[in-house]
Amino acid sequence: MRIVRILFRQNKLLNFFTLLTATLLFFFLLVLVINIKQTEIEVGTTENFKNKQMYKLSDHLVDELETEFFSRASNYDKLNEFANALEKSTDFQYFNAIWQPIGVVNFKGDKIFSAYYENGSEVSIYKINGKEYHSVKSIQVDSDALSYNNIQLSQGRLFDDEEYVFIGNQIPVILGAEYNGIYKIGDQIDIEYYQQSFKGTVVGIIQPLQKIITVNRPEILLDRYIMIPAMYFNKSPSQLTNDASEYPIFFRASLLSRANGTILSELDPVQIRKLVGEIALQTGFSHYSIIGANSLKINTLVQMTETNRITLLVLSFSLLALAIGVLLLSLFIKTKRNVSTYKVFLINGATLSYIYKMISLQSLITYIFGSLLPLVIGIVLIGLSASILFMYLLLVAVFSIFMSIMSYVFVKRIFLKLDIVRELKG
Amino acid sequence: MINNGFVNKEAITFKITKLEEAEIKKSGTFMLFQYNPDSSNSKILWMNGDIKLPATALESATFMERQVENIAIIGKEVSTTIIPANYKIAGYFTAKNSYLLNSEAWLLPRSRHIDLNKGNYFVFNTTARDKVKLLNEIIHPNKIEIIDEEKYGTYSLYSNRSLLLGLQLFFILIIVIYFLINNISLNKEKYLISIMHTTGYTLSYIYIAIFKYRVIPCIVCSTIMILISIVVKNYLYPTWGEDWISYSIITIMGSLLLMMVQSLFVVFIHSIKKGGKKY
Repeated sequence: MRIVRILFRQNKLLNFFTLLTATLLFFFLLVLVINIKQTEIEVGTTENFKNKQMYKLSDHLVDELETEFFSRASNYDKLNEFANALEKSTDFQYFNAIWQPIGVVNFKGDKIFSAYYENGSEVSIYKINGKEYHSVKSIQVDSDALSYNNIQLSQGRLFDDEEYVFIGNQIPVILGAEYNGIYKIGDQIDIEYYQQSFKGTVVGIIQPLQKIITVNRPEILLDRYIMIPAMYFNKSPSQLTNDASEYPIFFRASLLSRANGTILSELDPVQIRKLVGEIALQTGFSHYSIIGANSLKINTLVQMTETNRITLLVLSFSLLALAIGVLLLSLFIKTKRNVSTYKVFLINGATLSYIYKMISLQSLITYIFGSLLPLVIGIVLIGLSASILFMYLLLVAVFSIFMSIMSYVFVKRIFLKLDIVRELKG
Repeated sequence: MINNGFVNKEAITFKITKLEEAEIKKSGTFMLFQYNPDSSNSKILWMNGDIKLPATALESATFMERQVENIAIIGKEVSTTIIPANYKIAGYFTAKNSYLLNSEAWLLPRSRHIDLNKGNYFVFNTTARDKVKLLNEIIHPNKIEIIDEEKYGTYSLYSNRSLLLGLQLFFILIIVIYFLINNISLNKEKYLISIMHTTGYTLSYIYIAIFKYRVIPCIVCSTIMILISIVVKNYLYPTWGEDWISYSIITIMGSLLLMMVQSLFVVFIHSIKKGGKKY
């Protein structure tokens, strides 16, 4: 170890630059790990949609037809069974991601959260039962929508299974990334959703740039959205007619939303029409049509994420190779400059192989020190997840050992060329 | 830009509710879209200067005639029935995997007058450095309300954004390497500097000598590289803006300046600071 200490005292500037290079390199490795992890999620999301078609179900119930349909309690059940059968079907995947603004009392956010802000519309404020509501962007999702779109949270949790069932006026709420700092986990938000009042509780905050893919809008960026569960009913809606008459719009809209979901499948439009037709026949609900079968939107997203991953990998490996080259270059310069020190070691009885080992140990110590700053910044400032930290530490270990072995081999070759022993003998 | 309907990440989105002056002035290089986000996907487009359009299959020379008639460029999924009768279809977008471009119709009118009945929503793409200044110039004296638009396409990929951070880190690494190599390379001249100093040459004379054969070749090579980049950039990889050239020039100039300072430092260290008797 004394020799290592002496080696660190030689060429202090070069040693400092090697440490700096190693630190930057490990920063780069950390960013690379985060990136690869993120690309995996993004590519994983589009993989769920790759080579598939998206179809949107749309009901025909408008105006008088809607009034007539909902005048019979049994039709509520038919619609409910139709939606249930679609969800349970094993022939295709079915999910609900409904774009529907909601009202929020005493809204703390600014105008960017307003329902139609991006379309250039003014902030919409309305009153129901004396309460003033801000109309804000919201999406109602079921658990399949969250899993197919691989939604990642930065804080809190996703909805539990029982939270999708309509029981009372309590509702969990997950907020988009831009709400971070405006509301926090546990905050209560008074919500109006399909003219029904709910007490919302914030249970999670979504990571930035998370998206939900739908037929109409292939990229719904959730940053400015309030996400709530798409409601299910634990009893046949005909048994809930008292509630239905109390909240007619909520019951109807919720049932229709569930039946107007998205089908994701490799099947062609004719096959899908046949399968949904069979479900319609079994359940007795036939007021629907199927829109979509446009694979271009999915192709754009798949191609975009895959190209991004390839670019990332190619660039990262080229830069990594360059950085390794630089570290070896500095090792070469350092070794050549330290020849006189090595001579002293040899005179004092050290063997050549011992000197090789000490030089590679010096490199190992330099790399380990170089990896510390990125690690501290990663934990303290970025708050990295355990899996990312584990990957980073694994990479640090592999890289440091690899570079130390390289140093050993490299120094041995330099020594052979320099032939120090002959120089000593004169 | 292809993946998000040809809207640059630095584009300015805004709306105009009241028109003071309908004419769009010709100034700088820009693309100005006007549309109504609630209705059809046709957009009115005004352009000025040398603008790189997305890959488009143009029909005959009609595109060149846009000074004399109204023309339209449309996506392959767009029904031609939405194109106004007084517009002639000049070409189709050929970007295979852009769902936005494939479902859009760009209408390039001959007139340079805004009609708010066709939409009060605008997107301003420009390669200019001061984007707000240029926008104010071309639509003066109209009042605008900026809309903080969401960024779609590749811009919305988290990995794409953090990749930039990785590149910035690597840029710092390159500067460190550059400094290191410069230092090693200049230190090779220490004997020459000492000899010149003891021989009686002045500090400025030694510095000029080092500058001539160390720094000037780098200046010449850098200039040649920049010139080659400017000439071949359009053939190799056409980019939306020219900012990268400016940033490259600034970086190269900074590096050369660093080399000059380092040379001066090395000359000083190995001459005056080391002392020694002059002859």
